[in-house]
Amino acid sequence: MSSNEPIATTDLRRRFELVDQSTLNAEQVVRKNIGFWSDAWRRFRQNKVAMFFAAILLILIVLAIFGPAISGKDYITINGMEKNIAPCSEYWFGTDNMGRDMFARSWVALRTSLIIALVSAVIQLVIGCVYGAIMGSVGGVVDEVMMRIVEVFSCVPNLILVTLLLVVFGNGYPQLLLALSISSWTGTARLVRGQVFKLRESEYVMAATALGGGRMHNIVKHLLPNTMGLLILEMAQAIPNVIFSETSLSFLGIGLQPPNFSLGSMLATGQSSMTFYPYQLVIPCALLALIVLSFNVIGDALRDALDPQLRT
Amino acid sequence: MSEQTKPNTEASANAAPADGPLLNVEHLRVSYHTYAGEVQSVRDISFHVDRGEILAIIGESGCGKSVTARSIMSLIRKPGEIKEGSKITFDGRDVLSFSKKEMRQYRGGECGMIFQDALVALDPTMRVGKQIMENLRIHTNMSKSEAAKEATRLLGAVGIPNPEQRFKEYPFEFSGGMRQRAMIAMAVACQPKLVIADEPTTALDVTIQAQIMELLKRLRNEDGTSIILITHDFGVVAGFADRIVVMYAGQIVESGTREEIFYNPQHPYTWALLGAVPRLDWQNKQVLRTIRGTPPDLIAPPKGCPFANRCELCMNVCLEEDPAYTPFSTSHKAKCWLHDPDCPQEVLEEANQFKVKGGDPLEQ
Amino acid sequence: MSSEKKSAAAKEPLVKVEHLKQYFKVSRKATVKAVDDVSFEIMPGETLGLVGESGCGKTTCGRCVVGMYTPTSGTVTYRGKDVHSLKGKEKKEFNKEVQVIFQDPYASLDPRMTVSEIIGEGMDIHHLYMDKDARRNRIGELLHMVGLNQEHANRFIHEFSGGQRQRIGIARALAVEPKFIMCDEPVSALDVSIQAQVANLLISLQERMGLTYLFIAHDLAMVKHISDRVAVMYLGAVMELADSHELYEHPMHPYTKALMSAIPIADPHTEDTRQRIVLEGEVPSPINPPPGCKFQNRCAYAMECCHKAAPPLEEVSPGHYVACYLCQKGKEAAAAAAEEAK
Repeated sequence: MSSNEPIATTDLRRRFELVDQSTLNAEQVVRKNIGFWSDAWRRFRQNKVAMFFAAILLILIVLAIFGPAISGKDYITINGMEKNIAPCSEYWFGTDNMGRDMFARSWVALRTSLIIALVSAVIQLVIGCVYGAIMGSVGGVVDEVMMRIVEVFSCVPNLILVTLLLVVFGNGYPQLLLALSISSWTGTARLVRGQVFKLRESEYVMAATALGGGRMHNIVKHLLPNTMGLLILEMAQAIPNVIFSETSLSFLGIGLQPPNFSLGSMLATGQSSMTFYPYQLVIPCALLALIVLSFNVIGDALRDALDPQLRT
Repeated sequence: MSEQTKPNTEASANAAPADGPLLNVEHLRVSYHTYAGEVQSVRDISFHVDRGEILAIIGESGCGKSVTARSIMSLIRKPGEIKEGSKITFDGRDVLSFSKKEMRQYRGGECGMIFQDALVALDPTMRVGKQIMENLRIHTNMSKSEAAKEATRLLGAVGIPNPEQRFKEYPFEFSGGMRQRAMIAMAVACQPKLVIADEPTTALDVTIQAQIMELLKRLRNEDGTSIILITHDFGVVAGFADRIVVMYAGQIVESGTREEIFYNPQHPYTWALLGAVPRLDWQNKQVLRTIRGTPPDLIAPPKGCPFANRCELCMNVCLEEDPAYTPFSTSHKAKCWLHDPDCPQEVLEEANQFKVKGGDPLEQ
Repeated sequence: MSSEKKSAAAKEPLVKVEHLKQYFKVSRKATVKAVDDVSFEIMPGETLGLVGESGCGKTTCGRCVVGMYTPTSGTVTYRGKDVHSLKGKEKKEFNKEVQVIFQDPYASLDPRMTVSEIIGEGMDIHHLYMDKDARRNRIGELLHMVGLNQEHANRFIHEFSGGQRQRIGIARALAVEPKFIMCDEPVSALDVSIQAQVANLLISLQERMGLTYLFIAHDLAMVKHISDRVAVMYLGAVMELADSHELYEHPMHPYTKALMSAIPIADPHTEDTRQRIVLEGEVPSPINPPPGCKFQNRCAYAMECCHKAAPPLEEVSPGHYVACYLCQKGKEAAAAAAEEAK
């Protein structure tokens, strides 16, 4: 013990030596540097159910693009010899009452529905966004007048308006898109208006104004990035809604007319032969349910992932 | 259970513990589980509150003082977790193993809580009087009319003018100070033995703050209620607390009586905090004592003393090992390597220039 | 700039506020008189403190001064030019010279931006440091100035503590090389030890860069510490304005006295022995306030004349202005004012 003492003393001295202050870093940030989007993606990924449905959605989209080519069957030509064949190795989903391959037809129908939904949602978003942003950033009388217009649009019963439009202008893609978007943008417009109002009063926008930032600067640098999450959410919720509306219209026979078809018109034909050939109804039905469910689950997960309040 | 404490229920400002302290917290550890990992909000703290005593827990945001308060009320929910080995005893009973019924009696009955933001803590859709009545009816067997009468009396007692009228109003009709008073009335409605006040005046103006602190002090003097005051403001504590616990990074770095902490502080963090608050009697633009940097992120608490890399007297050992408590009196202890018997004289001399108050040099 | 010009500029106030009124209509009948006839001057290089309880109009007043609000009446002049009629290039120059530091370090920084984007925002707007390297160096320099370093530049702000964020906010304001900074409760939301950090930083920046501050806060001790002169506001009006040391040594207005005595002092002996003036009640609503002195209903010395007309802000000793009949040239003046009001 005593022989060790000198070493212990030097050790002690070293132990109690003051540390050079400049080597200490008290400003260290230990947490990972993670941006808003990567953080949202992280949280989305954690949601296992949403990830599952995202995978399903992806598969459905891929099939909607390449599906008809896989079976290699013609989905337009009527084949009187092979009507109403139940699903078998030759026709995976069977054939319809005109002898067309249901497998190919289903994917084409899904493709049509998806494209219509996507385009219509984008139209709705763009119009709603621009309209709402103008209301929010101009304010005053302009806001008042524009708000009244929104109210007029949203208080006319949607179905009547849409039916009327289709009856007057006839059927076809442009008419259908017009009909589907005519009143749905009002919700987006209100949402964006509220968000712009909120952000305009936020201190960081005030700070940007104090720095000399003009209206354009604030919109591009602050308003848009902070509204993006909301818009994505809105998009995710609009798509299944549009799919539903389009399906209902086509099912009622006022949507797409032959030779064009979508999930809705397939449902309508399937329904008429439901008793004898149930698969003709079940297959498009299942596809519709699956795609809408996927979008809804993903939409919910996105809401959780994008809400900064839930940041943990 | 109440028999056990009978000799004390009548005790007024008498702080003498007849049968042990009212509240005893031992080795409390609380963690929050987040995506980035486990945040160790409270890291092994022990303290007690005597009957009729005002204990102040002081510290910066994120030091774990509010989490401690919530643990005492057993209000830690997921993703938070009170770690094994923690012990909270209230009046001789183990709080962490209370049954649902006991817990209901305990929260709001024996132990009241005052929050920082009364607007959030009060139910916005219920009349203020009714909220106090509800609390009374849960914990006592008063009839409706008795409870209403008592609630009105309480509102008057906390200094709300014309309580009969106010009884029928909603929280949003109250001003900030009045809401805080209403919350105090609610917290003390069932004559609790302990009131936990979590930053009760932080959101209020100074003139209102003075009123509220007077009220809390009166509460202790008249009813002998123990109070735990949680705050970041040394000014509030100076005229109010009996004992003070200084928390930093989830630990207690120093604790002692009010006089000991203010006039003979022993921890560099306490020195720095005391020197950081500008005082009216100081020179203008005098350089304030500051603590460099930011408290450590408790997701990865430092290996040594948590204050080490902000401390002006950081030694090699401070970065390596966590110091133990050094007692200075029965009530006063601090957790710092400066008080280690091996600490060399030159460092102690260096330390003297950083000490803020108290004449006694740093010596063992 | 020649030396004569410089000395002349030193005598001229940098900011001059005259009879500033800012009313907000809340409904057809109710008007909030947030700022009601406020006048003061700020000299170049000095710090004017604006202190008062919540709702006294100090923030509104500050925002009017930097041109964020357009006042109902009255004028604010900066370097002799009316702030609210600036156009084009002058406006841009004003926006560069006058900056704001906000209270809430969480709300005042855009959560989608990184630190360097936040600090660089002003540079982009005013086309300063357009070169990539120069810009990066400048950001590093600013971060260093506020006690942070280059490592922090690419981080998103939600990982920083309140104090760090507030310093980033200060760096953002400094980026455009301002002359005048309106600090709107810059330390109120921060921890005690961090408050000192930010206060020291503001003081040292002022010394180094010759900045002028309008420092708004509710904490009289902090305001007194930082400011050269202090104006005490109550319900939209200035009650007392004096050199900060003078204000502390000889407070005159009953409200200032009460405010001072309410401040807790971190010293048990002082706390135990001091006499406290505890004000009754709370600040009344600024909606349609009664005529006369704003403080009348909480004042222990309220006289008849106080209910009739608001006392004007008068100089009672050099540089010390008080708006109270009690302190103004004896009772005759008070009586005269009461007569006048009839």
